[in-house]
Amino acid sequence: MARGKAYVLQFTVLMCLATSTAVSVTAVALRPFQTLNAEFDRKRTVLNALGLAEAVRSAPDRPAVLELFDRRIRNILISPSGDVMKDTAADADASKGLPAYLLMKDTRPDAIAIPVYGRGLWSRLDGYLALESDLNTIRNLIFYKHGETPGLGGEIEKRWFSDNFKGKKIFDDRDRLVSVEVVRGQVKDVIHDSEAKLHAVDGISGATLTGRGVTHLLADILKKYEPFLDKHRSKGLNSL
Amino acid sequence: MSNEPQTQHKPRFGRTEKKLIKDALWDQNPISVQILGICSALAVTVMMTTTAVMCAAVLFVLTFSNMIVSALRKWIPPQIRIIAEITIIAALVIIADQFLKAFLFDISKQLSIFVGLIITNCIVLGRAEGFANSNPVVPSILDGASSALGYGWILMTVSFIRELLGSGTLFGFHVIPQAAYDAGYENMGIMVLAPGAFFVLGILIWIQRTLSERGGKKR
Repeated sequence: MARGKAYVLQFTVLMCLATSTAVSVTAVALRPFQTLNAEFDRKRTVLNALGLAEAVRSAPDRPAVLELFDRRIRNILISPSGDVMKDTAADADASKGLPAYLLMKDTRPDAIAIPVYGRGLWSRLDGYLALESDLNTIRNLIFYKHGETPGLGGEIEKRWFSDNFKGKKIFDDRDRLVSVEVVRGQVKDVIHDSEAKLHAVDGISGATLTGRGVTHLLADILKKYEPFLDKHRSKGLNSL
Repeated sequence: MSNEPQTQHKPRFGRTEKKLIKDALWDQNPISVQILGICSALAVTVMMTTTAVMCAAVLFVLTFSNMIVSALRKWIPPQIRIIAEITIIAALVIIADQFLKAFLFDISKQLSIFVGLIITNCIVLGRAEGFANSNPVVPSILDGASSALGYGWILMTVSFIRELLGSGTLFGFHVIPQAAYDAGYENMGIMVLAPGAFFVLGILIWIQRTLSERGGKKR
């Protein structure tokens, strides 16, 4: 039976109210659990990026992973001029400086991880870039949050994509910060200079724009950390 | 739907209900006969655990969307029928997704967007529009749940074959003995990739339809 316009409008309003209430109540009620999950995932990514993947995998449960994080990782904040401001709590106010995570071996820092984020094709990408103590060689780059298309841009979360970054350099042979570029296609086909190959990784076929997003966000983030990298590069992380 | 059951003046659980379930699980299986919802069937069937969670989410959404649409069928204005159904389905999918993100975080990460894509799964809207919209609540719940199980058993079978041959595990546990690997056995790489799902699903559809037709002739 056809109904009048007023009835349709009334029904629409009521239905929208009911469904949005149901969705909002669920979302708000479950947020504390989701926040815990997200925080765990973030810390796990820091550990994985810094090279503790094996220890993370063999950890029996979540508290063990968090304990590993507390034991091995030191949070620092870096001022815009490149100095280490102070050691901070895990939930430090990032607006006051640039956050970074040091992997401690005995009492000395062995590697550093910095959060990297920016736009992919459809979504914000979140990940951690880990550098060796020379502050030049990449130890790992892991993305843990994105909304890219699975099988295409979504490949950035995969092991093979991360592995491409291992051993690449962010400074060129004249000490200029050049970051790393995700090329279109494969490095061996498009770059022939062996020095330049140190600053390029294979792209993802079908996801050129996501790759370009990764290139840009790495360059942008490293630019922010450049004063810190310049200041400490000569002596490496040991000076911290 | 030409074979909608007439439920008036019939016992609670009579022949029509049995036919409803059998159709959804076998003769009119949403995946193997109607070829609906193939996108997720290919994407989430690499591991049985993720597949099981996906099937549970579909079961939840399909059962409740059918129930709600059926309960509201006399009030939903025909002019905005589809929009209303999609709104209800979308709300249920978001709720399911929120629960997964809260309590099954790692699996929900692996399922990525495919839980959200249940909204566009043709089976869900198909049952709401083709059945729940014109049938009472109880048969609609039954129809929704059986359709989800019809979807579920095919997916679980596909993921059983893919995980066993592709990773040598079932629900994440190693079942192929190390001795077999030592003797030269290797996991089939294609099974963890999308083409593996195409082959398995294709063969499964062939077998299921052949059996289904043979049963039909006998009757």
